[in-house]
Amino acid sequence: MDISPSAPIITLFVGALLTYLFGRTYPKPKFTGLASLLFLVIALVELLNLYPGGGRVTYSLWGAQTFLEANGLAIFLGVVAVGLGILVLIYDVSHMKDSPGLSRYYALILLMVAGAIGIGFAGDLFNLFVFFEVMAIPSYALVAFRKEKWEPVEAAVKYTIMSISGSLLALGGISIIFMYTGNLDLNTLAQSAANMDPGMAIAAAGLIIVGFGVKVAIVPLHMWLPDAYQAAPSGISALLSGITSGAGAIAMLKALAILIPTGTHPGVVLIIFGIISMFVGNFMALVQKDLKRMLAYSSIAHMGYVVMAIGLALNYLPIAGEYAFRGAFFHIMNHAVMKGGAFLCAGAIFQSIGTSDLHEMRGIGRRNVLVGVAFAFFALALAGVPPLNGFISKFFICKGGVDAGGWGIVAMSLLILNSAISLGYYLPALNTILFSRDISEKTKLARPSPIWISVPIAIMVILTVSLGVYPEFGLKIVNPAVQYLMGFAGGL
Amino acid sequence: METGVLIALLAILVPIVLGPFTYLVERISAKARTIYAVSLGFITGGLTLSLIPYITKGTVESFMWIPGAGRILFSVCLDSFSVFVAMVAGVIGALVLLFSTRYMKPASQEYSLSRYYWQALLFIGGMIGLALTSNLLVMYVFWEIIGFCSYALIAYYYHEPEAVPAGIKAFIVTRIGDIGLLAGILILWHATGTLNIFEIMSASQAGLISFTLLGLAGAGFLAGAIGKSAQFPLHVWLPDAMAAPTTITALIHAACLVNAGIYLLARSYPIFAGLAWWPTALLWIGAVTALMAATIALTQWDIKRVLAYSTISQLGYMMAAIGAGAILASQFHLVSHGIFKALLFLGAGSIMYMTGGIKDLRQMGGLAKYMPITRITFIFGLLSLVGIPIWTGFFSKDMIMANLLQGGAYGPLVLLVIATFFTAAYSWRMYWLAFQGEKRTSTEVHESPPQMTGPLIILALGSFLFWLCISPYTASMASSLPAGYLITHISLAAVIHHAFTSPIIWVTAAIIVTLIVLTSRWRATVINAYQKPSAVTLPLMRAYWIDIFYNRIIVKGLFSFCQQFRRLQTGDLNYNNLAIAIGLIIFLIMLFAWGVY
Repeated sequence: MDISPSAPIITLFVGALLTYLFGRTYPKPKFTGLASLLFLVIALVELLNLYPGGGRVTYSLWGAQTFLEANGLAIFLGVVAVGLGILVLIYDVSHMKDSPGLSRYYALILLMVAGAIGIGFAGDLFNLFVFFEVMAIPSYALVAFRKEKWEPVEAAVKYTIMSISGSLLALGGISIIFMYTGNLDLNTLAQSAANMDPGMAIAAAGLIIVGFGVKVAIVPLHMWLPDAYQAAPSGISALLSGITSGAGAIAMLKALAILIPTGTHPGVVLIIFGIISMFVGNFMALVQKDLKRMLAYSSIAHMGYVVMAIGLALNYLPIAGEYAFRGAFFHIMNHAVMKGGAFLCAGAIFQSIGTSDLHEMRGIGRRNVLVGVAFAFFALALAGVPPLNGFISKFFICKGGVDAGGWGIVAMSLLILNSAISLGYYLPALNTILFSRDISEKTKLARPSPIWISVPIAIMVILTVSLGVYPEFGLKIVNPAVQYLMGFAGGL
Repeated sequence: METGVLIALLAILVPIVLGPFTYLVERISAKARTIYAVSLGFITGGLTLSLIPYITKGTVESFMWIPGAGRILFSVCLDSFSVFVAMVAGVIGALVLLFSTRYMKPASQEYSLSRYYWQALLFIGGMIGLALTSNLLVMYVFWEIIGFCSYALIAYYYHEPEAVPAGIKAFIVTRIGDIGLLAGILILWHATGTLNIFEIMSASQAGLISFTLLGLAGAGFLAGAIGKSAQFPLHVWLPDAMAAPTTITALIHAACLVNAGIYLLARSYPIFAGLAWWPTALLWIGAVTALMAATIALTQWDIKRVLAYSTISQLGYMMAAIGAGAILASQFHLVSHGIFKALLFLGAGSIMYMTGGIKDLRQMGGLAKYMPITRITFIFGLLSLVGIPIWTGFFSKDMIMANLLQGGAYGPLVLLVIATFFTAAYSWRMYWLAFQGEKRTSTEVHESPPQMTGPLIILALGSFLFWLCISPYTASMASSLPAGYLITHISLAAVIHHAFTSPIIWVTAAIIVTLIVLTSRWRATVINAYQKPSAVTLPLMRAYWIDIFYNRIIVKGLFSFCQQFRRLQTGDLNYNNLAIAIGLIIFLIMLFAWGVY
């Protein structure tokens, strides 16, 4: 069936509106959640129908043209975003059922996912920016969702201000590109960009890296992340770490790829600051006492791996590009599953004992066996232990590093070193949850988790194991994205 | 699919896939669960033994694993290296599981035995998988799996304060070594375009790999082996790993996991033999570790720690052997050591079971007349360890030292010879403190049940008789391995001849004399010399302060650095946004510096 590339996005826009109206008219939280779930499933079906890509839609607006294109990268980002969205929504139907204002909540999630899909589908820089904002703005509100407490509001204010600063800088970079090339279409922009003044190209590259980098949480732009992830509802933390960071990285990649013919080397900046992010994330996570904050810093580290991989690919495109891109995208997918699952476990624990302090949750894994064992799988996968999925994507990134040669080998060794260091906080967390010597007071009063919280967590465990044992499942979606990008960037 | 490959796949998958079902079988009854787990162990052991007729050269069959990324294959290899290591894992694994049926009974009230059996089976399957593949990535996957099992089983008694930290320490220290191994594998893949070890070997021997890359990969593989086989400077995890159940120590830390590093080095020897510094590094690291660990073992009071340092020391012998190019000697000693060290650990387990958990040698004593079978089998193990003819240990140690002598590696050889004397001393001391003298414990002691003495007797016979198999052993190795391993067939007569005519025989004679002297004259001095630490013995008792250095300087230093680092997360939005501005400036400077060209 021939579907327009704009179908998934329109479905989710309509779905957001209808879910909100439905939620206001029939205030039964479960049904609102299920309604939004329905729209996500429809979007997923449309995305899979568009596989493996091809098809471009043009929208004209007073003489200016803007494009949505379905290619491998778009489908990859779409499937990851919608897939994670579906799992988190099943979880949230049960986790959030006592919260007020759920009609807003589900509608905003649908908008956020629509924005992420749009980033993938964007065929020109204008659409890229617009959908980047469509993804970002609902996330500001979602972080502050539990507005009765102070922490979510404070975290959301910090996140909003920093993210808007970033967005304005990114807009500045895009404007510079437009000013000097008169063109925003990604497909033809590369040729136009070759004539850009080198100084302006540097300015544009710097602004774009910073602008989109705030979302991806590259150090030193990361400071909003620990507060936001800790204070947001766990489903939102899962979505933030899986979708917005990944989509932000891909947005940055798309905008930087066209600057390659100008002769600037944004890849070097990404490699170096990716490595710095790895170390900062892991070092800070080593001394955290709160589980969600620890996972937040771990997300900074993992995005460091992805950013370093993108940098290696951009800088050493012919020799290292294939494996570095493959590793980066596969890691975005795996991170969504592993970190998303870990946050869902943290949320389940929070729901049963009321805190996410590690010391207070001693022995919770023995009361709530599914959450405990699932967390063990996610922690080991995040640390890169085979045969789970985290190892495979890190392995590909490392292969990209080795292929790049010279400094690439150094980068690769630092990545593996960071994986080893990260065990230093995952294992104690695992131990506290499953193998602690005693059971804390709060754990003794713990209530078991409802079934619809356990189901998405179990599905994510299955995904973690199967993507590790037979990565081909994931590579079916990742490889078209790699091919598209190699073709796009390599043909320059 | 060929039968050999089918058996190999079953040997890997049966314990790994069917192992977790132990939890389900437990619902029926605890006894059913134990029978199920032990049967799986014996089936796996039997499968590995039945691989012997199928030993062939090179990669037997490959299955497509990851087509989408360089067509990575799951290759099965059935040459004699692989099959013998798999056999050690399968057979000793089965015996250890049988021993566990009685040994782990006291623990079952507090801890889940299903977890124990499942993880032990996962370990056995992982070790067999590591051995039976010729694809380096697959080998690495199993390498990490057994590392995880080691962590999980060391931390088994998690109510004890030292168990979980010891497990975490083991996982992290071995992982630091694994950094090198993974880097090495990736470099070799990049340089040769393949992950198959035989193809890499041919590429290296044809000179197709640049020396820089080969050197980096060699250093990486060496680091991985040092971590897994507990050589200096990454040996610190093994003594603490004694917090694991003694049966697991016998399986993992004597017979299998620690062998993985030596197996890796022996396997990859033809790849790196061309590097001038690589064999020398192995020689010296092995010899220094052997001597260092043997000196420390002389001062330890915990019987398991003595055996742990003894293991580190013997692994040093094996590494030195590989460094001298004596691959056959190292592999022979690997199997021989696996048998007698497992025997000694199970013997220690037998003592601990019967005395209600006593591990300290100062609390044992006089057990000889109450535990005759344990005593005799323990003596067999020690005689093999010390290298007394005609126990297997004599032939294997002798072969290593004779090869070093022949190869002209006199420096490391001297260290190994001195280590042999220390080995005799600590073995003698351990036996005397445990079995002779006055009975210092008031617990009623009698011999262990047959589920425990049975495996002890089997292993004792193995330590006594295994050397008789040397002719078919070397023949199989010589025919199924590529020439790069320098292995030729040796007949039994030649082995005996070499062993008794090499100059090393004088070392053995000196050892025997030393033991007689110790027994008759210096008993009290040697045993009691370490009651009060002196300037000589204090460094030994503190294991040369290496562990303390790691803990205080590196670990605590890192954590306090990270605590200070937290100050950068100010929580003040103004500073956070300032960071964005600073980031922009730095990025622009960097982009400018790298220029536009």
